[in-house]
Amino acid sequence: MSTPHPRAVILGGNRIQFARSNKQYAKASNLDMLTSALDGLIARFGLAGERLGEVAGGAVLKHSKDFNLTREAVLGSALAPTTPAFDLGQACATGLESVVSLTQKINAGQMESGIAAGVDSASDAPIVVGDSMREILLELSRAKTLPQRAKIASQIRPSYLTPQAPSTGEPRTGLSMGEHQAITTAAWQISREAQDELALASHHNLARAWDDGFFDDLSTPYLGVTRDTNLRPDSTPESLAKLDPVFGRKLRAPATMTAGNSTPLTDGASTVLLGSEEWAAEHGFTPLAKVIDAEAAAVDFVDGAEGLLMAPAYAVPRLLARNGLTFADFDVFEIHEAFAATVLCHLAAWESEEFCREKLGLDAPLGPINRSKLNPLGSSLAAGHPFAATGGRIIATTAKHLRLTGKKRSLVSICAAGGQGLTAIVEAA
Amino acid sequence: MKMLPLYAKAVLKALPLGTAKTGPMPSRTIMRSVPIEAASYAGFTNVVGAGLGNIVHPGYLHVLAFPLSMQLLSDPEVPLPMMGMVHIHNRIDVHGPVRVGDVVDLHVRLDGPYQHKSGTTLDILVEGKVDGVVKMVETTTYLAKGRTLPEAKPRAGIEREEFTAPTPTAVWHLDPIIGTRYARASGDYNPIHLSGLAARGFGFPRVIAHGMYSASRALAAVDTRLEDYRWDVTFAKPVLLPSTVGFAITEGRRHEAAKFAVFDLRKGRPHVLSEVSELR
Repeated sequence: MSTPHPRAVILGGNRIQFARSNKQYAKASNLDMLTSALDGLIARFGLAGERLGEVAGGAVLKHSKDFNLTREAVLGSALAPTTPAFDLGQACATGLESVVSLTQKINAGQMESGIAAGVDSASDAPIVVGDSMREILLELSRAKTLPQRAKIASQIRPSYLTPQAPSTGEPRTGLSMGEHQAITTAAWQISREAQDELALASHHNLARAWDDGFFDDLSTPYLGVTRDTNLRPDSTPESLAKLDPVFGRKLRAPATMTAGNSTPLTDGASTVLLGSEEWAAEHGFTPLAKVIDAEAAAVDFVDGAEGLLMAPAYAVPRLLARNGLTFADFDVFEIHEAFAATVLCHLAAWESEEFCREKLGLDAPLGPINRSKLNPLGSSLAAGHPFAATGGRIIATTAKHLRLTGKKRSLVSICAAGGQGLTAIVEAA
Repeated sequence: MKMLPLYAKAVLKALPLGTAKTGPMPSRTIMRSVPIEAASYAGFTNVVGAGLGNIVHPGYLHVLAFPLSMQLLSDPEVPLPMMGMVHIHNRIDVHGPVRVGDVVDLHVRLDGPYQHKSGTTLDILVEGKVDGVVKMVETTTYLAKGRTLPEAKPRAGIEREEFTAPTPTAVWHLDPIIGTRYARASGDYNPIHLSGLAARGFGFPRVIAHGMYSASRALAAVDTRLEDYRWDVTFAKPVLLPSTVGFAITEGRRHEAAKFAVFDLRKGRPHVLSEVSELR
């Protein structure tokens, strides 16, 4: 059950505009982007020189030199250098887990304020050579004579030189996230049209939000980028329909997943300011919303028993049951769009009597979600998905949206690599 | 033991010089105590993608016995040529865990020859004991294609089940160097796994992966937690390198009894069909 009286409130957020990988932020490191996003938040809330309780953050694609990434970002930011920080990781749920983790610390009375953060660069990613190349390089370093070296070097094939980064491949299956999703998409018979429709809604909703100035106090332009660069406001059903499928081309079912209804590799960083109600009042900050409860789930995808990205379908019903809520109690559904099909598979699962009975042990399906309540300000298909930064983007967006519209409750759901998912209930403060 | 001279000797023996030797299979047993050393074992787990834990992957027990098997097979009294023989089946019965640091007392002997629809087979029988307790019993079956021996005994062939390739739950991208890497980890330097020229000499278009590499990697993926089990492997088409192959569990589950396969992604033909079943 959620905390009897949660003290922790969401006060705001700041992110840098997300950019497609290898474009505007190609030369920016995780540390650069995270520090920039932090500094933007600190400037907006006048926190320069303040010592906060803790800053939590992480990145999915991490250099070994990034071992203390969040602490390094704090040291490079305007915060007091006496602000502690820690790194955490739960793949694409990293950003949301940092929000949940700090919320619980504040609720427990352990601290009064904190910043939850996340960053990822798919451009300045750690380069790792494949096992074959690694083997050859190690052999070369052991070889003593020139002829020995020449002989060993002759084993190098051009394909070995391809760096293994960045990759969304699952270590245990060798399949990319897209290929995994394609199998699930086929199993749930999600149509190309339905996926394109969801992608289109994401672009239109995000474009409207930018046009309305919704993100003006949730973002700080970085390196000349003033809007998420993946956003295509002029997308049409026709332009999306023209794209060739990129995933699931070897499956028996028709391939439906394209670059248009899948998220691209993206660079970006996000932050969320959290504090106790008292701390917020002392600083004159208006609480936007609260994280009431959260639930993580994981599925056994390794031998194909469940789809890689289906964990949220299991987490949400457990979260609802614990809080005595149904879909009807929610005004907003923020379901991370790893792929359009991921969201549609979750919706289909919750509508399926068979799935809800056999997999979730429920008497009745959870039922449908009103599409007008789904990702009303766009989501990852339009904004892009810098893995660990997505949670912070969603939390700040939905918290402000609840405050602005007077709506009450939002359900947040993020799927993650390794068959994981993290979900949370956010309520207006 | 030096494997390369042994192969050189075997290659010479495979050449069509003089008449093929006939006669009974030598009944010699080789016994040797082999300690399982962490560093060597890590070399094996690293290549086949198994976790490096205290309990030893049975594929490594096969590796330990391998030089002894080759020593027996290269005996001039063996009526079949070692080179060109094809590993078609492998069965290991595991009776409780063998651990890193254990000393395995290996008894290796030959059995056969047996008639086979495509030639003649012989078995290598391995028994592995730790502190006097039998921990593994292995039967490795080799086929000498197109060879018939008057003294070969009849034996019921192992029926291969109809195989329809499922959706792969994993794909393996295999570089040519995997042959060299497994050779180094296993001591099996058969040139068909190392050199394209040698592979062509034995009728393969390219270098082929060691059968026990694919089989051991597949078992590592199933990651069985059974204590006493039988691990059966049937080798179908060899895996040419480089290639990308599919893997799937076709019956059962990871950590439990299961049937599983490594197969060609395009044509769906099997490379390795394997099964883990509980003993007792």
